[in-house]
Amino acid sequence: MARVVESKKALSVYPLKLSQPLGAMYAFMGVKGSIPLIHGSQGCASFAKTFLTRHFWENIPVQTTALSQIATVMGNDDVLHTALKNVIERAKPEVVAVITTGVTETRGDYTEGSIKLFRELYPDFRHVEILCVHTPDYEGSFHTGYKEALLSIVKNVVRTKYATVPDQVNLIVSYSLTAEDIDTLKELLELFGLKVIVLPDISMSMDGGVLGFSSVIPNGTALRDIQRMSSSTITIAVGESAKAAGEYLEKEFMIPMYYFEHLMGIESYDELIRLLINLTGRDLPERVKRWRNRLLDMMIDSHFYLSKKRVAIAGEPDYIIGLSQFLAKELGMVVSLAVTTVKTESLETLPVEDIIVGDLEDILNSKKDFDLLIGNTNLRHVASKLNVPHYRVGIPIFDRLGHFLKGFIGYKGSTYFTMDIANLLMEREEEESYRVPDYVKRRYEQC
Amino acid sequence: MRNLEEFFTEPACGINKSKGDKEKKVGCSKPKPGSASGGCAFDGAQITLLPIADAVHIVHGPIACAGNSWDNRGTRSSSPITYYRMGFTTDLSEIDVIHGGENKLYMAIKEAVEKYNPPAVFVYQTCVPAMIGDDIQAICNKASKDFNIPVVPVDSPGFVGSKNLGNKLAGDALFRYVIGTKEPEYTTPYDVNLLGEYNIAGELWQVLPLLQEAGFRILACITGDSRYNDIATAHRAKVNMVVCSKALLNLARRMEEKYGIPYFEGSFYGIKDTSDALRNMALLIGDKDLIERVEKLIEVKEAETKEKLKPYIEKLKGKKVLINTGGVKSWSMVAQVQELGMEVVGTSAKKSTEGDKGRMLELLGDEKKLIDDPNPKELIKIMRSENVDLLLAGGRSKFVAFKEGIPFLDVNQERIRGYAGYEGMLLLAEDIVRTLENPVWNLRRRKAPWQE
Ligand code: SF4
Repeated sequence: MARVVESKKALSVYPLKLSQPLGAMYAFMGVKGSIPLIHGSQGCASFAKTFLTRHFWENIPVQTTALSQIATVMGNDDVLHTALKNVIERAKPEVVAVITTGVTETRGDYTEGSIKLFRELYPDFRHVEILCVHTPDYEGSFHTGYKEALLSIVKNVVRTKYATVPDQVNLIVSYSLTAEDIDTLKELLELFGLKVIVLPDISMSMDGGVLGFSSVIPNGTALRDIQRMSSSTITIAVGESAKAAGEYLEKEFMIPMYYFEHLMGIESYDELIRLLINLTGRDLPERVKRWRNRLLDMMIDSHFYLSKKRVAIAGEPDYIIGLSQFLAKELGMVVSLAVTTVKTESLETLPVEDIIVGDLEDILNSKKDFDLLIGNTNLRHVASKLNVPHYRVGIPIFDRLGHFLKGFIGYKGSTYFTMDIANLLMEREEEESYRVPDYVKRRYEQC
Repeated sequence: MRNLEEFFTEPACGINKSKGDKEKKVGCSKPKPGSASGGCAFDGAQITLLPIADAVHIVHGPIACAGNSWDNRGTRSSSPITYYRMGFTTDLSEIDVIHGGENKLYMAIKEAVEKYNPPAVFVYQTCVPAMIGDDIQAICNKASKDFNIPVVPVDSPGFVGSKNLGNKLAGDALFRYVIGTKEPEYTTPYDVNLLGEYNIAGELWQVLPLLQEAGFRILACITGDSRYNDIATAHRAKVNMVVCSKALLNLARRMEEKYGIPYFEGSFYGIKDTSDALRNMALLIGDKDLIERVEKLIEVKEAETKEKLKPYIEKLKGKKVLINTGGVKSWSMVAQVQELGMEVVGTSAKKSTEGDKGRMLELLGDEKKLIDDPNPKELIKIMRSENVDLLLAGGRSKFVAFKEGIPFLDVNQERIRGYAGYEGMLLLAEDIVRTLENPVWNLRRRKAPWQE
């Protein structure tokens, strides 16, 4: 059980929180043929583009309505309509995601109404799906923006109930899953003879595997597949940010949802595999099973470096939820502090001593001692101040290559993750053990 | 909201000079909805001021403005105090938006002063608080009196315009609130300011020894590797050099009016431009010995650099380059790569003044090589049709080139290597050769076994 407090500072320092529109935009990075249209002043889109470009090392398609002073004060449909028209004509997208910002929400725009009007005025663009996600920057965070985007996608795209396809399942995933993680799950489901629709699927667009330039998201979940999510037998939702979309499909189309808070370590993955065995009656190949033993073996080999070590983690909620449970419940570490960006339902249930909804400075202010810090690139400022090893997980990571190709879930991903952090701690411990204590130095000086 | 018109009628700005009366009123070009790129005024203001490393910079707004952008620029500082990398923000929540954020801002300034004791605080206005009517000027005034420390309001909500306008607004804030508020410990006849040099990737440090050797003293660099107090004393310089920046011309002109400091525009990219910059600086100071000394230094350095460049030029001769970077750089970089023997097949003229364009034309001799709208598609078209060997551009274009399998070199703010001065010229040559000669480009062109 965690004590959860919300930071009361007027001044946020070393921010951790990322904005809602950025989270929404991230979700569309896994929707094929889409382009996010940030509805606000131009700077918001520019920052978001630079940010995701640095994180993914990919070209990031995004556009903006570029509201100027006059348009901001007046509020009108013209700007949005011109923007939609320009985007559709130039980039030829299949989906335009209109993502609102603090500017448009403060003004109180009725964006849906404006989109509806656009539809009437421009029947030629009928073939383009135009979605709207409400994401004022002054509410929630990346986490809630991502969640809202997924919800908007299923609400607006999955319209008709199609006849059930027996072998088909939906997989709705959190932003905390990397390209490699999504691949892992797709392969697993395929091994069970299942056809899977992943939403959103960044493993096909933000993995470095796309050659050639594209002005829309070049790959990912196809619109047609999203429409067919109503014909799946079940939905597997991974991460709290994925849950609402799964619940919607359950309520509207009676597709049972199996919800996993996370898939790190033994227990949660066992549960997923149990579900799949029950569902299909099939078994797994030996090579997959072997990874469970390898993980256990890694946990045993590494446990001395990890056991009771004190960790602080920082990140959007889904990272905290997965990491804390694996670290504390399975690796035997002490998660003495977690810093996150927004209060969600499960935070209080996590095996963490203290959770602060705040910023990275709160780690410095906590006056606790840590053996390891886990979080995004920005956490390096804190890590160097505290002189504690720092393992990079989260968004943004711009000072490491290939982080999206690393796996963190399942038997195999968890093995590598455990190995990585144990190696960090082993290295540090080794270094420390060679350091001569001051009183010993003094003794020899006296001789 | 303050009247922005004065910035659109800046007499020293070449773009404005070339406009008719009607155009001038409209101001700098507005971004087109749905086909825009580039940062907002706040972004621009921050670019100009953030390198003042020991000041606390508070972004007043919801998390979008600071959260997605803090610590994202390549400006380097020698300051032991590096508040500029800490991302201070009021992180406004819904309640703040309903009740107004002024009180939170005041408290935030208080926390910053109590905890960090900086020489000054900068406060940036952003879109949402501007819309709900937060009066940052009043708050800054009050805080400044209450805490007895300069608190500088920067009125830069993103929706007023582009990054470029933001640079100007920042210059305006410096002129109104900072420059001239302190006296330097001592002055010399050789004191100069650099305006618009942000020490990206340590470029200021590359030219600093050179300037010293020539006999100049940098009084204030606005604002690369600066401290607040340097900038406050900038009014005592003898010359202002505006480095690769149209945006701060306004500041230079006003400093000339008020403090009688003459200015010139220059660049440290390439051998010729570097020499010209040193020369002009000396000429404006007008000291005969200095002028002579500078000429001698130029002669030695140029010869030395040209000698060292020879092996690189051997390799680079005739290679085709496409350049996509803004403003002054779009021609100064042309000259620079031409000095390396490379052929420039095109350069961006998007943000260029008529004067800039004239210079490009002089260097390139063909109007077709000036690209008015260097969007990714256009760049790709040129890269393909011209068989371009290298794209020189900002980090965002990196993946346009990489996706096409074409070598790329970052010449904007995110790079970690500087290319300024004579020394920078050598590094540039070295880096271009390193990227061009990497085996991956050939592998990238190979067909996969299943494509054969
Ligand atoms: S456009 Fe406005 S809200 Fe967006 S980043 Fe710039 S200042 Fe902030």
